[in-house]
Amino acid sequence: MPFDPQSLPHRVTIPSDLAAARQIEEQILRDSEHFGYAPECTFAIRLSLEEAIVNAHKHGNRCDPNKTITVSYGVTPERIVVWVRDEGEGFDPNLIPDPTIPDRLDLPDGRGLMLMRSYLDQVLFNERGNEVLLIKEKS
Amino acid sequence: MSTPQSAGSSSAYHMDLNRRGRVVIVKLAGSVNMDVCDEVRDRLIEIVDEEPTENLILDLSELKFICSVGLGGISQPTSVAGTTTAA
Repeated sequence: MPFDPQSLPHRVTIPSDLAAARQIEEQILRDSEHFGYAPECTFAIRLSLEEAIVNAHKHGNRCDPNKTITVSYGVTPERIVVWVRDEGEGFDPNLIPDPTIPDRLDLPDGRGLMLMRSYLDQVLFNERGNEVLLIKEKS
Repeated sequence: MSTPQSAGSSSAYHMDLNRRGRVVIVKLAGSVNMDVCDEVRDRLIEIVDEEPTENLILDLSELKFICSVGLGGISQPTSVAGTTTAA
């Protein structure tokens, strides 16, 4: 994922805490509404942000409040770009099982990743797997 | 029975419980995000414990938002009850 998060205009580092993450999520949603994104787009980015932040907090930082989550984002009239980084060891998204396989329907693994990929135009991970780039084009 | 919840505008949800004969209907409305997933799951587990039935209908027709953890939260208790989830 050759992406420089410094290219995004906003960058926030928060404790690994869901309440702190909520404020960033709400700011991004306000910005998207300001630029007239359709409710379907706003829904998509809200859902994907939830999934990315929960993944960073729960799976990446293992709910350790001493660790941080960094979010960089930019909302333009053309697209919403969000980059999320945690301090975890990372993971290989290719090893996450398909949650729609009948035998796995009752298992929790993989639903968040599947939802992000379904609703966004791009979901890209760095090689280590502790950074994710989310892109939603204005439709 | 009605259980209104309001943990903030982005996570407000509402849960209603009705019994019609041998069928228990749980209506979940509003928004279930990461803030309230555990609460919703625990409430559904309580309902399954308190209202034993093999016919539980989970009505999601007025659910506006749910994250993947929330999906797990509503599927776990209904799976334990041996019921079918329908949206």
